[in-house]
Amino acid sequence: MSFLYKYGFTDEEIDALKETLSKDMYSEMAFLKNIVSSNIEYLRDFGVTNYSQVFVKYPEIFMRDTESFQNVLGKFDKEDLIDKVLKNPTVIKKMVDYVDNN
Amino acid sequence: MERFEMMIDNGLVEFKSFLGKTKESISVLIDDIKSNIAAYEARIKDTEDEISDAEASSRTCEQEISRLQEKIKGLKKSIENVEKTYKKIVDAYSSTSEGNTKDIYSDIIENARENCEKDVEKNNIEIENLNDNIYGIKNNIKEFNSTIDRLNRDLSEYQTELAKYNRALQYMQKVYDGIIDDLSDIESGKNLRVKSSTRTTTAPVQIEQKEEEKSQSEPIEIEEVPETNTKEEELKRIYDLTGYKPEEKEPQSEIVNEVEQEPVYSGNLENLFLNSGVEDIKEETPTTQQMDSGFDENNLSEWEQMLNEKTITFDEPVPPSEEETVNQLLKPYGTTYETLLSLADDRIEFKDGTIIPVEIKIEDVINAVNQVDAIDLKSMKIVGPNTTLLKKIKKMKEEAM
Repeated sequence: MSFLYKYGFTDEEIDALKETLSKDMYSEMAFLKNIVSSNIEYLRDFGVTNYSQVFVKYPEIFMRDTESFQNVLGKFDKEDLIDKVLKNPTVIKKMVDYVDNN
Repeated sequence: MERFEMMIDNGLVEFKSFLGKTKESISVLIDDIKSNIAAYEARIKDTEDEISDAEASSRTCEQEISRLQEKIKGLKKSIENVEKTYKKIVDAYSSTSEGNTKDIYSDIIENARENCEKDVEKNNIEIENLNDNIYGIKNNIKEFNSTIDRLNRDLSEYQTELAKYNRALQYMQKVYDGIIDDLSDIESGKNLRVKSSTRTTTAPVQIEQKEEEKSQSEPIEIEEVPETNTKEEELKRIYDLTGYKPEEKEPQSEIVNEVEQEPVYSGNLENLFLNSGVEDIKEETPTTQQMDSGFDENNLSEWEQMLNEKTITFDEPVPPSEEETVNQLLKPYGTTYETLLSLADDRIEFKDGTIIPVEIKIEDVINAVNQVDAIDLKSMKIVGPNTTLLKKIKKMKEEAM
């Protein structure tokens, strides 16, 4: 998980992430680190400043093709999304689930 | 707003009156919409709070389960110790006692055995109770999770309704502003712009006030707005204009038992062999010049040689390369072998720190594609083909280790 340091993740955040992830998810995330990195960069460049919080809480939403990830975020009003996610990172998980199930 | 043709004097007054009424109706509608929006926003906030509470309760329950499971572990250990103690006593008795000593020890051992059994019984009962508690807590967690799902569905519905109301509000504001402009234009005696519809460009109609040009102006018919229009009818008119329909619909849960198996390879196997590179058979024929060179016996041997010479050549069909083959298989999924290689790491790192180098070969990709099933197809629709295929390849590599 050392690739997360270059996105500004702290040791505490990476340790918390390791606690959250199951064995399978951990090895999947490490194997798909290029995809995960690309999505973290996209979310950061999108304007979500607390992307590290989002990632530690819901790492699974970053394990998808970048095109799919961009497609999910593109369905919502940008300013509204950034504002809501900043107040409560849970919102992004709800939005992803809403798009996946509809 | 619909298109009007007006008689200048009376028509102007009536148009002004109509605009005034419309202005009132629309401002009432705007107020309603604003209050609806506020109500939805409040409900969204409440729902989000409920979701947070439910999640916190769910986490507390999980912590309680862990604690109880630890306790069960401790109790089982106690039972083991008790049984070991009993065994030691029995062994000591059998190895040391004989004759009268045996009678003395037998009572002690019998009592010890009974005590051990009571302890074991007590611990087993406590374990059973704890397991019942765990079962109850797991049911609570299940209920919390279904509550969370229900609240999430409500939340998304509220958000959808909120978005619709916001759009309606924007439209209403626009119409309201337009009406205010029209009213001020009428009062100041400027040229009136009559709008043909809310969505098309307007065509200005100049209304001449002079008597001599009265005859040239077009007669304009007035649309009488019934005075008894209720708020609901006005709202319905606005909804019809905006195309907005405030319907309540149940969230549709996707029931996926079977995903239709599409013929993944339809047409692609044929494509594999389209570029097989079989070229036309070439045949050399004697040239005209040679034919016209005249026949004599000296040339006979030449002719015989020419005619008997095998000049037909067959080019070997060029088989497609392995990479072309795998890319043909990946084409329906919209990816390539090179893309998959670029997205995956060259090793698998496990949580315990173990690192295993891994290389994604063409045959790995082919095997993964051949084993794509309905679940994988569904996954591809959600997370994408690259992630799905790479996860599959990783799993196959781990199983092969």
